[in-house]
Amino acid sequence: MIEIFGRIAKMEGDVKSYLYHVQRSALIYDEAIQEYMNDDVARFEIRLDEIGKLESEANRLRRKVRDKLYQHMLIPEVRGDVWELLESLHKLIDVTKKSLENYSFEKPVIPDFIKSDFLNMADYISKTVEQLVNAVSAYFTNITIVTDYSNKVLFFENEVDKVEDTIKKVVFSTDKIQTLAERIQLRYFAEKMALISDVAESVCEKLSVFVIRREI
Amino acid sequence: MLTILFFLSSGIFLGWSLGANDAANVFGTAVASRMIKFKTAAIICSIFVIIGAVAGGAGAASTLGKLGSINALAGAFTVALSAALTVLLMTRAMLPVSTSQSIVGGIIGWNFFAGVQTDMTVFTKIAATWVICPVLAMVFAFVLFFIAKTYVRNSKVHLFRQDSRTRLGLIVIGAFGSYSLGANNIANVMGVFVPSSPFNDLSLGGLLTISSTQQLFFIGGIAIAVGVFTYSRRIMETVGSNIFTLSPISALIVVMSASLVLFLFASKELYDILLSAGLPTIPLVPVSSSQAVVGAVIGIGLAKGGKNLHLGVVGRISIGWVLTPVISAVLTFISLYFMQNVFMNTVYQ
Repeated sequence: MIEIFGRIAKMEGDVKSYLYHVQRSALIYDEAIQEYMNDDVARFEIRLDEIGKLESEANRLRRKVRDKLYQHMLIPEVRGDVWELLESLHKLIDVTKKSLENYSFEKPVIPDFIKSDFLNMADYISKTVEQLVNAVSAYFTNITIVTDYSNKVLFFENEVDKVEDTIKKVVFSTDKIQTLAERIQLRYFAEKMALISDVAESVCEKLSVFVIRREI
Repeated sequence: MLTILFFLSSGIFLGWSLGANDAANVFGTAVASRMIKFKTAAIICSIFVIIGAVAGGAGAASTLGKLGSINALAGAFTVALSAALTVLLMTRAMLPVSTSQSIVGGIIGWNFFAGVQTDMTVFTKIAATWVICPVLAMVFAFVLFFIAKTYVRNSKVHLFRQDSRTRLGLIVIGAFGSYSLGANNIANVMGVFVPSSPFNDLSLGGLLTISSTQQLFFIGGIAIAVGVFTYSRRIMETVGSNIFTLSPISALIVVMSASLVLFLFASKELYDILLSAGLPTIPLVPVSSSQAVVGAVIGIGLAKGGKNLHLGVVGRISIGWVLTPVISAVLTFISLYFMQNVFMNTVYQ
């Protein structure tokens, strides 16, 4: 029995560590966007490298938890839900990394007059993910407060959408951007950034169902 | 010895059948949901059923004895066999059946055959418990559900830790349920053989005396354990996954409620405490573990708001309350006639 409780404590630690990686990826993302907007490419590339390593480690933790869940037949009634939750969160890290990679590959020129919008967006994305991680963490320990965090996720996701719309409107109405290609590229980047919070929102929707299934 | 074993065989068969079917009421969900391995469940169930039968089986058996003291071994054999056949018939006809109700019908059939007056006070007391048993299990489950819900909501225990605690709970409550099952239901298996027990009291070095009744109950307990090991796995897996679509914690509450009811109707110690305190006592009567489980599941359903409740099952159970003893009594009467007049055995003294 001591062995079982020791194993359980390790798994709790692994899940906690995994969630920490998800949260950290959003914080790194926010920092990386700031550095890109400040034209600090070198530091931006370091952040991208950092998020790549973070993704690998998160992937290792995710598989470790999955193997233990199935090998030791733990939480049979919600095992599938937990696994789906961890997978969805991994997709979140994945789209976050891809968004940064796009900046690295395409090096879009962000006009100064919309940089603040991009920074705002990154900030709201980071907050969305932070609240999502809190919600998922509460799913494991205190389901009564999951809804509170979920509401915050939805709030920040909505803010991201608003900023995305603002960027699109400005990009296609201003005279300061010369070519259509540039306009389309900026729209594309805004959409790819907003995708992160969209994924967070979809994880949040799943979580609401999983919470109902955790009721005794 | 062979003759004794032959006459005990119907009781042993009843014991085997009890182990095969009713162990699923205690460990069904845990095994079906893979919370506990079948082997672990079978070992725990067998050990505690035997302990319950030997240490706590006297009370319920004594009440059955008051209903009709079957004083010939061949008579006891016929009653147990007829009860077993009734259970088989009812099960084949897909009707809810309880061994307890079947054995009571058998005893009444013997009373008729032997010309013994059936004590209606005892019979009424027993029949009342058939109704009280599922109702009480329902009340226990209803109350325990809210206690568990409050605990889970306020304790902030991690999901994984809650899972391991539930497993531990299923083992502990399963052991308690097995003890209660043995203590309460051994009367169905071996109760009719008590007045005509072929055994003598055994003294172990002057330190411990094992009564003839306890020896009978030990054999019955072994038969139940064999039933658990040989046939209960499939039933645990089918019953556990088909009837119980409950969460492990709800399942734990169901098993706890049913076990408490079985314990209350079997505990002589509790009976004595209540009696000495001048409080109303709980009759020591063998009750149906399956019906206790159904009552507990309804209790959980009511606690969850009463949606998706299939109350038709209650109607079917109440049909069983009447049909089972009647069929068993008639079958016993006919079988006793053949046993006495065709096989030339003394079925009553």
